[in-house]
Amino acid sequence: MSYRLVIVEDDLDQQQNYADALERRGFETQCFSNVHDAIAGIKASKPDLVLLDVVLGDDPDGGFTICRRLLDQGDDLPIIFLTDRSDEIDQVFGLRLGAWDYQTKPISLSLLAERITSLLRIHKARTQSSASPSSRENTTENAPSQTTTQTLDGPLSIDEQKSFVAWHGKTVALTLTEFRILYAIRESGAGGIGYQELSESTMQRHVTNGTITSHIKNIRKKMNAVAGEFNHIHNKPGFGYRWEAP
Amino acid sequence: MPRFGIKTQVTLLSLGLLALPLVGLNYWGDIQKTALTAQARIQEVEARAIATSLLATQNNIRELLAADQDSELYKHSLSAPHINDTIVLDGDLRDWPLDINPPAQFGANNITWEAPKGASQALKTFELSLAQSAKYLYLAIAIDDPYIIFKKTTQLRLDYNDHIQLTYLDASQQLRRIIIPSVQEGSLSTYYTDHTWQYGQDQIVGREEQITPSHKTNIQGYWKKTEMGYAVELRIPTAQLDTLQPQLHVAVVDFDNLEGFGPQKIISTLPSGFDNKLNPLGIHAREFQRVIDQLKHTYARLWIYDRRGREWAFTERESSPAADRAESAFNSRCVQDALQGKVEPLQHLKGKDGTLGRLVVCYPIMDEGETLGVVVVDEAASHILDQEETRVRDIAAKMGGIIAFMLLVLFAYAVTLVRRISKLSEQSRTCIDSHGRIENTRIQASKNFPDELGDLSRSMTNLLERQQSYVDFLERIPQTLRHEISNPLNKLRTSLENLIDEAPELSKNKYIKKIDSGIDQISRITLELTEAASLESALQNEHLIDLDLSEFVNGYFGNYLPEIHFEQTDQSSAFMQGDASRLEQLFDKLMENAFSFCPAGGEIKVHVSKNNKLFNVLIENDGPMLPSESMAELSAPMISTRSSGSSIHLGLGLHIAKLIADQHKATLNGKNRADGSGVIFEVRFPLMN
Repeated sequence: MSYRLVIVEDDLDQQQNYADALERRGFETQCFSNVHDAIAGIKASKPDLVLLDVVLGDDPDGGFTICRRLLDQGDDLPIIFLTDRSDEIDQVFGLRLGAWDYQTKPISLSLLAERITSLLRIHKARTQSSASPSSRENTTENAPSQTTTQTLDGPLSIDEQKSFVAWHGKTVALTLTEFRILYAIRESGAGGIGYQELSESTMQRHVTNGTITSHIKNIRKKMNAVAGEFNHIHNKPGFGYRWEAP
Repeated sequence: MPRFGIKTQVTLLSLGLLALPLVGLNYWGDIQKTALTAQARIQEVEARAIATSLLATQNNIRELLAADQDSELYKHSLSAPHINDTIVLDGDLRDWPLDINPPAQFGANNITWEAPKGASQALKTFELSLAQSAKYLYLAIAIDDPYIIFKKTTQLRLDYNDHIQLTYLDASQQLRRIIIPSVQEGSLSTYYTDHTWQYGQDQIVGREEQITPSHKTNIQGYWKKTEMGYAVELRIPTAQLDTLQPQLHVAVVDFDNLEGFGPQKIISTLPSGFDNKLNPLGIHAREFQRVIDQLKHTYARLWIYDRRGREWAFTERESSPAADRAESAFNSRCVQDALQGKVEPLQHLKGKDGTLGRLVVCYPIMDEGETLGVVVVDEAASHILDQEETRVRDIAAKMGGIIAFMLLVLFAYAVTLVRRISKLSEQSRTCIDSHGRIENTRIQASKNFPDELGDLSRSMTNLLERQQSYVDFLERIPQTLRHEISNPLNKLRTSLENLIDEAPELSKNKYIKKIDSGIDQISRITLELTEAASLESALQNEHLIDLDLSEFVNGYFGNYLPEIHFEQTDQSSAFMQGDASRLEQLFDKLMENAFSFCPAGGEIKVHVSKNNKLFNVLIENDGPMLPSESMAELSAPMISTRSSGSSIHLGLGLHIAKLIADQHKATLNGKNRADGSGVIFEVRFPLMN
């Protein structure tokens, strides 16, 4: 069974390029270029995942509108923003609306396909194993039931398949990119992991050290906000980061 | 160039106001001249009017003034200067104005009789002084006669002792003889007598023709013994002497031996040869006096003199300065000029302090071309100018007050102006920080003032707002650029990927590879631009924590070994407030810079040192020199000052490094090696105490 994806992009060339690349990789795609058509189409036939541009024609926040309308109905629908709006405030806003990921253009189609596959796998894992109504990474505060993929590291528990992180038993709402960075550092152990490897783990084409640092700060902030002091990711100046077990 | 503040400028300019009193002083000088000229003219008119009046009213003026002008008798006139004060009859001559009118001495030349057998104790001389007040003629007679014979009380004859004989013409033109015997010290007695000078004789005096006892002479006096002999003071009512040609004769009769039969010697005010004559007496003539008395409140002093200097009339204002009262004007140049026939003689007399004292105008009394006398009108300059001076002083005081007030107002205005300008300057200076960033566009100073400074304040606000708009526009360029470029770039990227997916053999095509590389470069550029543009605001929101800089740089630069030469002289802890990730970013940029400009085979050296206050990191590399050692120029964004070969170099690296150094209150400087073989960048961090 192939997954069905909805692509909402007002630039028809890019829309076509996304569709071609994803169909080539076995996905079914349905494309829309405006808010109205997209909402109508998605409601008519619920897809497995939605790719949203933020600026749609004359509507600068069209993508955000669609996201809010879809997720307000309680749907557990994975949404990825693909947009040229790179400001941090836009990213934060999009993720708070309930999107699973926020990618800024230009993107790599192959890496995009990998991210989609990864998200669908995570979504499937969460859907299948969870008796809880939702396992979206940024909404619940209750730890999901234990699965075979979950690992424990003191008060930290990580489920790679579901991209799930709990700190002191409380779910931490990390983005997919943040989860992958945390997971990569956690896996690297005391030897640490360099910026280059961390960059690759994000499944993005161009990632600067500053971007990695920014993600690390967000991880620390979210972990600290959930429960207690999180002080297990250490900088190795000029190299990258290392994990210090709790 | 020396600094001249506005306060100094206004103060100096205000000094120009001080010229006004100078102008006023000059004006006062002109007023003085005008007033004196006018006064001189008035005095001249007055003098002429008096002269004309005298000529018109006094039919016999020629006879009076010119009578016996050339006779020998007139040479022996007795002068009686005018006085205001009363002379006390006490025999003491110190209250006499002797300095003004020295006494006349009569001696050997005026002996009118002498006993054939002269005695050694005989009378030698006597001195006579005269003075006249409004009512009296005063006489002071100092007699040099050491041997005095007094009249005995039992003696009826008045002439058998030292005595004085006084002869005058009274108002009724009658010749009166008064004998004053020496009796004792004290108030003396005077007696009418006849030509024998022996006994007192009653007289018929006045129009009522009543008999007046001989001792009722109305002449009072005082007799006093002196070292030289004796002195007598006498006071005669001028009414008794009031004739057109007053005359008086004084004779001192000396008795030395009672056993003799007559006087020893007689000295009189006329020498021998003038028998039955009297000295002309210079007291004021009533008719003349009446003419000038009408003006005595108007002028300080008025005189009428005849050619010989006889003072025919005199009057003065009571408030005239006492020191000048008795001074005769006859000998002045003014009077002498007038007597020479000059009709407009004018004299300015200097006071004791050298300033103008008095204004004297003399006008000749001329009849048929002959000068009979002179009218002198004297006025004190101070009296003339007092009124004007009071007005001018009043104006000057007001002007001075206004000038002082204006100076104060101007100074206060200057202070206010300077304060406003300083405030404006201070606010405008703080609107832009040390890095040239606009921190505030609204200048509050003077913004509501409807003047040029207010205009300037508003203009500056407007200027800053426009500049801020432009800066905002410039700062938005990277974001805008990224937004605008992202979609076409994404279109290119995805199209290229699809193309390679559809035709995998194209992945080896060199042109496709170049396109791929180009897209990557553009992507990185937009990413770096975005990062740099957002860095400044990101830094402002970050909190710094205590950080061991020594440990940090050891770990950081250790990762570059052995590619670089790293030296850290002191590895002990060095704490500061910092952010490790930002410091990493800072050194990343400096190291990227060093690596990008270091030629193949070149060397990069890092030297770390510290002291109690500073932590220094020196990063030097071989390679091309910096075109400028100014960090302001080196760290300007989007300006790459050196060619770095094939790699991308937007000039953002040093800009970002500088921003992070500023965040850590560190200094970042770049300079060339002295030998020109490369460059050195130095970061100095302040350490915590």
